[in-house]
Amino acid sequence: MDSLQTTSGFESSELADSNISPNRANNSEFFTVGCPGMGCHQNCPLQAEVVDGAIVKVRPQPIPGAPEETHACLRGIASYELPNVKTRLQYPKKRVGERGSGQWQQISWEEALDTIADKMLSISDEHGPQAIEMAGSGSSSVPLGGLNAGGATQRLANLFGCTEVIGWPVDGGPFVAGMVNYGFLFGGANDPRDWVNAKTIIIWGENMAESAMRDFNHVMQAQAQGTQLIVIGPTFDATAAKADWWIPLHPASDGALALGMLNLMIERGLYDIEYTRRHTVGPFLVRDDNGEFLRESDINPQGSAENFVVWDQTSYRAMAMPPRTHTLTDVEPALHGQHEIAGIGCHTAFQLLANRAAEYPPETTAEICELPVETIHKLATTYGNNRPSTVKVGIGLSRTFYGDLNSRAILAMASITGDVGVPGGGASGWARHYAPMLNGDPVYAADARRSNRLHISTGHNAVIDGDIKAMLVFASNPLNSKPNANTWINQVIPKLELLVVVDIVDTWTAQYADIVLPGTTIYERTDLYTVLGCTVLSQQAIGPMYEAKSDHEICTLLAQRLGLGEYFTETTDQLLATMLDHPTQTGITLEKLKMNNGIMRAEAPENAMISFADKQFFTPSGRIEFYAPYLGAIGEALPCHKEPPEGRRSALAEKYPLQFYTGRRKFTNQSQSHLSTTKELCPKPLLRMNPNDAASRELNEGDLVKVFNDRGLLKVEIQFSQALRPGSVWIEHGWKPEDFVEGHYQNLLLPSNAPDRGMINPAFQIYWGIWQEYAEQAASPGLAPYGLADQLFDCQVEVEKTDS
Amino acid sequence: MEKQYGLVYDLERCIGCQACSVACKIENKVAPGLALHEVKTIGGDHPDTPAGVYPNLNMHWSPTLCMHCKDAPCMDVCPSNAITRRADGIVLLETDDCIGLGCKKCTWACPYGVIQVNEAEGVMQKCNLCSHLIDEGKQPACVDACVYEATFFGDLNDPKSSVSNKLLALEARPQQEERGTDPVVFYSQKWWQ
Repeated sequence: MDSLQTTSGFESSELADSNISPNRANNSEFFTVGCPGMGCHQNCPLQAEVVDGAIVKVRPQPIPGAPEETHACLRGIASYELPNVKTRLQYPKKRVGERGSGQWQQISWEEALDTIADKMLSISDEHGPQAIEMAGSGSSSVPLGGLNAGGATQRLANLFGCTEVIGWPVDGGPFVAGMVNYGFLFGGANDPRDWVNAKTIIIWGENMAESAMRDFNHVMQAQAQGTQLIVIGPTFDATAAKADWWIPLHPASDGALALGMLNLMIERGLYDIEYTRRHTVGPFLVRDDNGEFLRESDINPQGSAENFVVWDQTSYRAMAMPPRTHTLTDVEPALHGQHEIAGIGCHTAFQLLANRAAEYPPETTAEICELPVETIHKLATTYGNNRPSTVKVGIGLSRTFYGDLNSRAILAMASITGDVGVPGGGASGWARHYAPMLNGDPVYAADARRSNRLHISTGHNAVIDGDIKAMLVFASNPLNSKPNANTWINQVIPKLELLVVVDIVDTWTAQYADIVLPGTTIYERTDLYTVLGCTVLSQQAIGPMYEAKSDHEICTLLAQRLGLGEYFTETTDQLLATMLDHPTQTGITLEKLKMNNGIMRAEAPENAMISFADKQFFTPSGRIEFYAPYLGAIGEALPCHKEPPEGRRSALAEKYPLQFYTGRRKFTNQSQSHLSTTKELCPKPLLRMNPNDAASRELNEGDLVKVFNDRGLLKVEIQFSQALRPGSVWIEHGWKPEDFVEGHYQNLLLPSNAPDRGMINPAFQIYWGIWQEYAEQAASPGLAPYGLADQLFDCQVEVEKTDS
Repeated sequence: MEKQYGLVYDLERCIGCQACSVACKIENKVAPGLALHEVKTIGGDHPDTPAGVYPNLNMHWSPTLCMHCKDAPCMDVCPSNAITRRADGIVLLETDDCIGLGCKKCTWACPYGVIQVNEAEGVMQKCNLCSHLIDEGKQPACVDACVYEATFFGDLNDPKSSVSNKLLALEARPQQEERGTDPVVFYSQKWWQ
C-alpha cells in the first residue's frame, strides 16, 4: 500500500487502510485478477472485492517490489460490472433463420458441441483438418499468454491440425521496424521506470495519456523532474495537452520529419560517431551494383561470405569485420565515403543514410510535414543535444500504408544518437517492464502436429478462395475490428459452412454465427500471466455466471468429441504448474502463488531495465541495421517518405477531401469496453470536426451527417473540436453498429492487405519471410509474427448534412 | 486540534482520465444521469476539447465535487437541517432529512453547482467525501482511484500532512475564492491562471 499512500498523499498514520486485508470483519473476499484488458496491453493486476458471489468493487492490486506500478484506470475500475453487462451471452444458441436474421434458439451445451464436432469431422474428412480455422486474437481474454487466452485453442488447433491465423490484426509499423533495426520486434525501448533518466522524451504517434495510462504516469514523473516531453501527432489529444512541445504534423508525414531531423543532425555533427561505428551497420560497405553489403568473399576468394567489410581510415585499407564484432584492433572504420575495392564501387551504409537524409532539407521537410521550417531546425537541435532521449513510437504510425517506412526512419534517426541500450535512451514501439516467461509450449502442444499457419492480415483470403470451410472464433470480433466489414459480411462469411463464435458478450460477428457459445470473463476462471516483473495467478473470483464455460473447458469438451480427449485430461492446476516450469520463474510455484495473494515477483536479470544494454542486437550483423538490403528490390533498403496511395494528397482527395480516422480514448479503448459507467461519461459517438471544415460545408453543431466514400457510409451527429487538424474528421474507436444512426466506420476504413487485394504494401511479404528466417535461426528470441496494420487511417471521405 | 479534511489537486498531473468520477459513481451507487464527482475540461465548449485555434491550443482538467466550504451557504439555507458539518470538516447532506423537490434551496445557494437533484428519489444529493469510508479508516473513493499524484487528501490542520505540504508547494487556491465560502478543495495554478 505504500504506493497508494504516496501517490494520493493519503495520511497513513491517521487512517490505516484495511481494504486489502483478506480477512476483513465483514463478508468481503478479495481476489487478484488480471484486468479484463480493454485492449490497452497494460494488463494491470486488479483486486476484486466479492460479497455474496458478486463483485462489488475493483481496485488496483499492489505490485510487490514495484509499488509505483500499482494501477487501475477507469476501465479497470468499471470492469466490475463486466460479468453482468446487458449484452452478456448467457447460454449456447443456434441460428434458426438466415445468417444475421437475429432468429435464435437456445440449445444445450451437449447439442452445441455435438453439432460443432460433427461438422468439424465431416469437413476434415472431405477437405482435411486445415479447412477449419481457429480464429481469435484472444482480445476479450487478455491478459495474453495464459491457458485461456489462446492457450487451449492453440492446443486443439495443433492437435487437430486446424489452420490458425497468427499475428495481430493491427500494430505493424513500429514492430517490423524493430525487427529490421534490432532483429527484435519488441526491443529497443527501456522499461518505463527508466524514462525518468531521459532529458527528452518523444511520444510519436500515440495518445498514451488515454490508451496506456500506467506508462504515461512515468512520463509525467519524468516531466516533474525536468524532462522535456515532445509529442508528435496531428491531433491535440490528452497526451498533446500534457506536452511541453506539441508538433502538429500532416498525417503520415512522420518518416519525412525523422529524415529531416536526421539530415540536420548529421550536418551539425549531432550524433555519436563511436557508437555509430561500433553498434550500427553505418561503417559497413554497400555495393553500388546490387545494394548488398560487401562481403569479404567478394574481394578475397579465401574470405568469408559472412564477414562484412569496412574502410579503415587510418591505414586506408578495406578490412573484414565479422558479424557480432564491434571493434578491430588498430582499425578505425570510416563512416563516410565512397570507395572502390577489387573493382567494386561501394559506399558506407552511413553515407547512404546521409545521402538519403540529404533528400530532406528543412524546407522540403517543412513542406511535406506542413510545419514551419524553424520547427524542423529546433526539433533536430533539441533532440540531438538534449540527450539521452527516449523515443516511444506509437501504434498510430502503423495505421498508414507506409507505417513501416515511417517507423524505420524514426529508428534510423535514433540509432545514430547512441541512445539505444543506455539509461534514459531507447527507441521502439514497445516499452515494458521486464516480465518472466511461462513454459507455454507443452500446454499449447507445440510439439504435436503443427497447425497450418496463415498470417492474420491475409488469412481470410483463404476463406474467399474456398480453402477454409469453417471458422471457430474465440474472443474476437473481426467485423468490429477488421476494415471493410462489408467484405466480411458479403464475401467471407457466406463462404463458411460453419461459423462458431465464443464470446462473453453478443458481438457484431456473433450476429452472423451459426452457433454462439457463452465464454467466461476473466473474473470467472483461473489463469496465469506475467506482467511488471511478476507472475500473476489470476484467480476465479465468481461464477461462472449463467451457463458460461472457459475456453479451456470448451476445447476439452470438443477434443473429447474429436477423438483427442486423451490430450485434454490434465487439470487446470496441473497445466498451470507446467507453465510455471520455466527458468525465469525463480522460486515461484503454484502453491507459493496461492499463499502470496496470487502475485509474486520473479528475479529480474541484471540490466533488465535497459533494452540491449550489452549492445548485442539480435540482427544477423549483431548491430542496428538501419540499412536492409533485402528490401532493396522494392527500393526500401533505406527508409524514405512515400505518400500513402489514399490520402489528402492523392487524386481521390478531390472527390473525398476529408481524412477520416478513429482513435483510442479513455472510455472505449476497444469494442469490448462499453460498460454502463463509462458509457454514461461518453454516451454516443460523435464525429469530431474542425469548425473550419464545418463552415465550408455549412454544417452546424449537432447536425446529423452522412460520412461516406466508395466503400461505405455512416450516419452520426457532429461536434466541433479544435483538436482536429483541419481536413480531418475523427471518431473514437470502439462503437458498435447499433450506436450509429446508420452504418459503421468499419465500412469506411481501408485495409492494407486483405480482403481487398488491390492494396498490398509489397514490403509485407518480405517482412513475413524475414521473420520466418529469424525465427528459424532462433537469432531473435521472443519473436512473434507481426504484419502490417490491416486497418488504415489513410481513409478519405466526404461529409454531408442528412435529414434521417 | 480538530481535523479539517481537505483536498489539493495538482492539475499538471491530472490527465482527465475520470477514474475518480467512475470510482465515486460505483462507491456511492450514484443513480444513472447523476454525478457527485465530475472532471470538467478547462478548454473548449465540449468535454475534452481544447481552447484556442488549431494549432495554438491548450486543455486542462479540473476534478469538481462538493467544496466542503467552511462557510457553506447550502447549510445556511437548508430548512430541515439536512446539511451539517462534522467535526472533521466534512459537510454532510443526509438525504433522509432532505425535504425534497419542493425546496431545492441548497442547489441555488451553492456557488459551485455541485448539489444534484435526484428526481427519482425526490432528494438532493452531493458528495459527502465518502464519510462512510473515512469512518472505516479508508480514504474517499475518488482519492483512492487517483494513481497519478494529482490528488492529495488529508488533514489541513496538520502542517506536516502531505495535503498541507502540497497546498503550499503548489500555491493551490480554491475555485471562485471571491465567493468567500472558504472551500477546502484547492487547485494548482492551472485552474486560476
